[in-house]
Amino acid sequence: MKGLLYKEYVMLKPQLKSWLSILVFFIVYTAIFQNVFMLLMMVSLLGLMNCFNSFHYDKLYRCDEYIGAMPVSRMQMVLAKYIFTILLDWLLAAAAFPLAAGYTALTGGSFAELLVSVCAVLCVMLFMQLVMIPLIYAIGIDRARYVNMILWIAPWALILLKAKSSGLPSVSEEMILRILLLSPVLLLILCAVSLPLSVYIFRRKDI
Amino acid sequence: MEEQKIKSYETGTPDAILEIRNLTKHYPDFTLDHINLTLPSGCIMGVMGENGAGKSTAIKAVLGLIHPDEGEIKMFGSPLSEANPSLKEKLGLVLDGLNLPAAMNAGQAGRMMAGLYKSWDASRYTEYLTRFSINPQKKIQDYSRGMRMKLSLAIALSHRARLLILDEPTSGLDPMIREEILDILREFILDEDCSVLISSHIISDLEKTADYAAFLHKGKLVLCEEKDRLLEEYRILKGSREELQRLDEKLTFTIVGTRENSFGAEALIHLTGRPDGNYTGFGRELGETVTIEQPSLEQILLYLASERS
Repeated sequence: MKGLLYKEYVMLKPQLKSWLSILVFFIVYTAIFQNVFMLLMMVSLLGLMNCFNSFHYDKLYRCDEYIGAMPVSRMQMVLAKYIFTILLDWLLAAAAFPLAAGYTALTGGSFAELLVSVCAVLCVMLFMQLVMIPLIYAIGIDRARYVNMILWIAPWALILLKAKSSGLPSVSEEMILRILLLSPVLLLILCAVSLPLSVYIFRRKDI
Repeated sequence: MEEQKIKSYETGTPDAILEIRNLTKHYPDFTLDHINLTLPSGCIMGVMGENGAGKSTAIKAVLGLIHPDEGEIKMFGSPLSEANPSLKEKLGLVLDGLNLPAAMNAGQAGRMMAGLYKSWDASRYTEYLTRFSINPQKKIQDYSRGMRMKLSLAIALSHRARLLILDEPTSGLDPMIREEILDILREFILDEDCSVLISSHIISDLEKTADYAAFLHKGKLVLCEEKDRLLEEYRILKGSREELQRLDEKLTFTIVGTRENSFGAEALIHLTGRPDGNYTGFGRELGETVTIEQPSLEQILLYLASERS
């Protein structure tokens, strides 16, 4: 297991420089346009991108073929992907927090709102990954990318359509907080479904 | 000892490192059809066959990468299964290419393997890197194909493996590196508890190294025999078309296949069942102008393949 996590880290390492330049770009963007939410959105995209990149590199270098013949079970291979992905999400959220906090301190915004935003970003990242990983195992990385695009675009398209036709219902602050408080439980349930499903699919697969 | 090995090959006694029984895998356009193989300890078995013959499919099944539709694979006497990945501790692997991220270097590959193999021997790995002149800091993407193969071999040999499985390790390599890799394999089986299963379509490499030759053709195992016995059992006869047409069954051989050209004809024969067991002077029985030659492994396999086709 340690070896699998190390491999994920080595694959991520060359991307860190480009990640840093993306972050710098969005910090500048935040300063100019006084909008921290683009930075937070970018953080969630980086998390999702890494998840896809990891599977893409495995396919490109046929790593699964090699590692699958080593003394690790397929369950451990899947578990390593989940652990690394979730750890990275927490790291990204931890990195986003001081950046957003700095922005709030400078602009005098609400700290509670900032905390809620960072938590929401983390929840969205985790939600998308927990949905996408079994899908990647089932249909492959290339097709899963298209499905991912649809999953991102579809809710926005539905909201826009709804807004155009009958207007959007108002969402109270209380409701948002309730959803946020419920999301760890929902994510845990989703994880309890996603992980065994991925293991099941990967075990049945010919590598 | 040699007799014991042959017996174990034939009957599948417990000293077999690898046993494949009725291995079958169906694909829409190809079937690996009831393969039976036994690899005794202290031996190198060469698996040969044309591209698409099923060599890699058979190896993938042995490695647990694909799920056979039928059959059983035993490694070190235990059945291979998802529930028993520790069996692969003793398995060294060299695939066609080094399937590791290109951004990784040899040092990082070693650290990764240390986290995967309980019996990883870091000092032995460093020794192999030095022996193969591999810079531990150089990234895999900057390696030549030969260097990749050597790194793969260094990894396979650094965790006290007893069985080495190599899938096309020498294809695309220059003769010097090929010879170096084959030398390492010969060195590996000096320990009689170790064995090698190597697939290749470079038959000359296997002829130099293998103790056993297995030949796959269109998903079927055409033959699997001790290499020396195989070379002993086959001969090539060269003569005129008429002379070869007169060859008779009573001369106690089977004609495997014939070829004709503008100079005459040649036939591959399988010597079978001579009562005296002596084939030395039997050429004279065929006529003075018929010449008898010792075929190479490649010639035998080409005849067998064309006969099957």
